[in-house]
Amino acid sequence: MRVRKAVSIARNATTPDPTLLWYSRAIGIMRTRRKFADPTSWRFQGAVHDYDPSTDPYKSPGDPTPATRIQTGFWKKCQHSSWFFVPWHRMYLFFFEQIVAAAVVEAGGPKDWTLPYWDYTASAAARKLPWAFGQPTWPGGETNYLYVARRAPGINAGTTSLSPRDVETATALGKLLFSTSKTSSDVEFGGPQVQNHDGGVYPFGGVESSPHNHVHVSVGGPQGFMYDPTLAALDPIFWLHHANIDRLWEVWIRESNRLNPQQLSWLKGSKFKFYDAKRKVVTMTSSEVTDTRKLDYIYDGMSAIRRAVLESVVAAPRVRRLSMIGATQAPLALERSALHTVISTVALPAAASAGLEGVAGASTVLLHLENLEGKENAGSYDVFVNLPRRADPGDHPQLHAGRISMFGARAAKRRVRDHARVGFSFVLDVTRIYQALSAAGSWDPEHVRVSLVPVYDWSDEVKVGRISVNTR
Amino acid sequence: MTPHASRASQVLARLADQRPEWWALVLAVAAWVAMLPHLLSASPSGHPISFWDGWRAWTLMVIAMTVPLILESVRWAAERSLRSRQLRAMMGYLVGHLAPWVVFGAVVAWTHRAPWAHLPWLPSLAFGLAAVWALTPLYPRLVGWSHRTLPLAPKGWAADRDCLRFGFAQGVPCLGGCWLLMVGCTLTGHGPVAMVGGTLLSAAERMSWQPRPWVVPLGCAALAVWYGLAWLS
Repeated sequence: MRVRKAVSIARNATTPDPTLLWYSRAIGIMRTRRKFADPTSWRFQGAVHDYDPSTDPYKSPGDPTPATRIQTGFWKKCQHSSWFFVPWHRMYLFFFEQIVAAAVVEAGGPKDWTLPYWDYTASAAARKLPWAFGQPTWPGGETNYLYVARRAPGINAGTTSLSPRDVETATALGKLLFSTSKTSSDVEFGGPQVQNHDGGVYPFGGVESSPHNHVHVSVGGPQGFMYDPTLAALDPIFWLHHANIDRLWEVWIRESNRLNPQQLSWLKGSKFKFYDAKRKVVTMTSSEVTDTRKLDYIYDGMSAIRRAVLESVVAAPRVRRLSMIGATQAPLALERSALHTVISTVALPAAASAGLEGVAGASTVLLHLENLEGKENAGSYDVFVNLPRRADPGDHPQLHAGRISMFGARAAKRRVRDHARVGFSFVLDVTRIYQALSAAGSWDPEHVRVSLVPVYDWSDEVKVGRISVNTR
Repeated sequence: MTPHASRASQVLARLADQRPEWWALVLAVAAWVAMLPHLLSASPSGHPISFWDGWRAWTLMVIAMTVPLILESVRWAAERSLRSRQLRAMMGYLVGHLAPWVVFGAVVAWTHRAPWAHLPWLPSLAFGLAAVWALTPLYPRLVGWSHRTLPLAPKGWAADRDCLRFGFAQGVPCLGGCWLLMVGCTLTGHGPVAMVGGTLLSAAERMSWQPRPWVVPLGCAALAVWYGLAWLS
């Protein structure tokens, strides 16, 4: 059984890490020796995630796109804001890893090459881009295909790293359930129960929202591959990032009382098609990827023996329906800010008339930000609850409700005519803040103040459809 | 109140809490019941009826066939609204969704009065065109747009406006995608095969867990063949 290991983050100017060196050589083969129409080419693999000819950086007249039938069947299949997010990406990585491993062998490398993962949660040093990915060449001058110029400023040089808020995983891992009804203003680990052709705007699942989206935006920056779903998989770090998301699913399921969806619609209802390393078409369902051991891999540090199959013995807990107790009355504009410290705040006027009496004794208080639409460059935003006017948000970490990241906003904007989805939706659990403020006697039952603070100075204006407070 | 009655009322209260859209399903069932005379007396090409009867039958047909498919959106409107306004929000959504259908139904009912609208081969033609329409590139876009969700204001006239707009935003593409199928059903005189078949086709498409682009074209083609054979015989 293959063991996916944490990527080497060490700076090593003399002896390259062999796993990364062979990864680079395999990418070299996939990028330079294979035509776009070859399902095992680098560009084709990127297009499986998403593709837009207007953004394709490797477009060339001598390398035509595959037939429309192939494009329709295999491209632009990434699953987001959906309970298929983690299973689909597991399948995607599984076949990609086979394709790269075959290319490694073709390059003269070992037969047991395995995709590493980028565990940016491990330490402060691990939050920097793994050193090898920021070097245009290997020692000796060989081209390093792990290097991509189009990343956020400072990421390649190692002068900028992910922030602790980018890599926050406790919220997602603390969720007991995998998914929620798509009509609910709730969030669980894996995402809402959305059909894979649905055009509604539903909240991101916990692990997709954080750390997944944050890492995409922080690594990509305004112009980087990672920022745009149509380009993201062309950055070699994408695959290590998603291997870590895949690992987090495994961490989550190994906690007690965790349960993957049992509905047939999730297990077998949606079939996803991929090409394997032999260029054969393979169809998979979620039921085939719930256990990595059946795919012949595990993650290091995890026992190959999972606790007795939880799925069959744990019943999903019943949850009470949420109540919406207040919301903004009209769409809002979060204006572009030149300074990180400038805050656009939003009061919840509906709360005054509707009252927040329902909050008393509430077990859960959720903030739902709906239909967020960005322009060209929509970044990440820190959301605060009851932040005093003109206060420095840095002085009030206890009021930080969470970070939201607009991964895919530019692509969504480009496709507004083709897609019904208008913007993004995020749910943040603010129960802890509510409880702390209530205990201190400073919770105003009739007003909740919400502040969105741009994390980056390159963020354009963002339109917010609605912000609501929901309790159960 | 007896213990049994008390328990039953608790169960119903919980059901109403968990499924606030239950009454919309009852409305759809009632529409099917009201359509029974049409279903039982339909001839393959329908029979001439007055404008008002035709419009009424169209509206009942639309409620019967479409409301079961949009229960999730009805529920969505409820869950995005203050508890005190949930019923109003759901009704607003339904009115917005059905409005374009009802307006279009007036045109259909007016046209259906003409003698040529009862030519026996017209249902087959309508279903054939519906099959072709479902193969055009615009059709899957319309299906996607019919799932569109919008933010709703929580109170006042803005809340009513937003619920109407939300329903309208889904109703217009729904009409754009399915108008030929529904016209075909009307041309059969609201025949049982057409109505039940059309409902199942729409449900198979809207509720399937992955795109099934062949379901509606094939189903409509089957209806075209069915009514074509009925005409020939």
